[in-house]
Amino acid sequence: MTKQQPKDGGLDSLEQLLSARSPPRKLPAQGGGMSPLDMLELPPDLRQVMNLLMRKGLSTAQEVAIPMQIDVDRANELLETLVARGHVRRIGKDEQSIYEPILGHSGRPRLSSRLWELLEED
Amino acid sequence: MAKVISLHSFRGGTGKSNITANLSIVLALAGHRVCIVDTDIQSPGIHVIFGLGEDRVGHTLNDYLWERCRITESAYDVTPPQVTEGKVFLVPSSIKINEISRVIHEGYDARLLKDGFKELIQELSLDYLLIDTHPGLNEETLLSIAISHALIIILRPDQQDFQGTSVTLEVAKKLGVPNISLVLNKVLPEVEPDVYRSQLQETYETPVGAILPLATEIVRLASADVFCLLEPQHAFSQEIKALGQTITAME
Repeated sequence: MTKQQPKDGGLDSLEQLLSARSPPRKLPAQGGGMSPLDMLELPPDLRQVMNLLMRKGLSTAQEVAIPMQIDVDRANELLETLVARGHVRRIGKDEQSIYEPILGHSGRPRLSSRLWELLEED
Repeated sequence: MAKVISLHSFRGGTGKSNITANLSIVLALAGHRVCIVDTDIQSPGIHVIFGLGEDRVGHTLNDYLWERCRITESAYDVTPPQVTEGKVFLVPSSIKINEISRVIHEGYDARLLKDGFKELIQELSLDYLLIDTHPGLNEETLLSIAISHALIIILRPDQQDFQGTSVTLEVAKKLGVPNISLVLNKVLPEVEPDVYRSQLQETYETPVGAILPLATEIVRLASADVFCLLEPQHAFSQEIKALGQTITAME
């Protein structure tokens, strides 16, 4: 068996070769989730909700409302805005809803994970 | 409930890892279960202070972030014999060049890191998770700050550090960190610590957790061990102990 070589030496060819040898690992979605940098750009009330969710994890609207000293309806409104923006996931319905922050990848360019495995080989 | 504490400095060389290691020991000596995560993936080093050599390290934080292992498989018990009731665990980062370059090129999935912290807290029954961050502000550091219950910002008596600390403080306040304190390190012995303490508190409107002296004994130790175990009565060790007491008193 002959060793495969990239035909034109370009990065695209190398990527194709690596993909052929090993299917690429399933990578996390880069869209939708929130990065901490995005958090800094949110309006203060939405950012405050995100700050709470980041530290506490899963929370109800009431658990958001109490530390923010707002009523539950306003907390629901803010949480639903974050859900609509793709920063928060709603689990369940109505008063039973629980909210969870969605984190994204830092968004740097990604090469095939196989490339790094090859670097470890002789 | 376990507390997540980030130790951060805007610039490198402030003694962040050394302070993190000493703080972990002080907390463990008080009977607490502590884990340090070295998220300074681009320039890891805290494992050296605990004598965790390459021969003892199997999995690292990098392996977890590339989904090669569970995060608890990359946690090492580094509890020194002087600690009888508490525990100290360390999740080191890899010092292999290809592993470091991969992080620089690709970053990593922030969700995994957050989930990993949670798993460590649960599986190791932790009281405190200390995050040794990468200097400066990048997304990974911001994530650590965003999920922390406390942030300790380490700086030296240096104009560049003073300016950088203002930036870090502004970000930390925006991210709603409930407890923020400053630690001034490498203060010349001839300077009265209280002078700096009041100046810093006034300038930054932030509590000062410790004023640590520049000590030749620490320089001489050269990260070969945890200083407060060797010199518990030294002014440095006493200040770290006071910082630990502030943390344990935190709500």
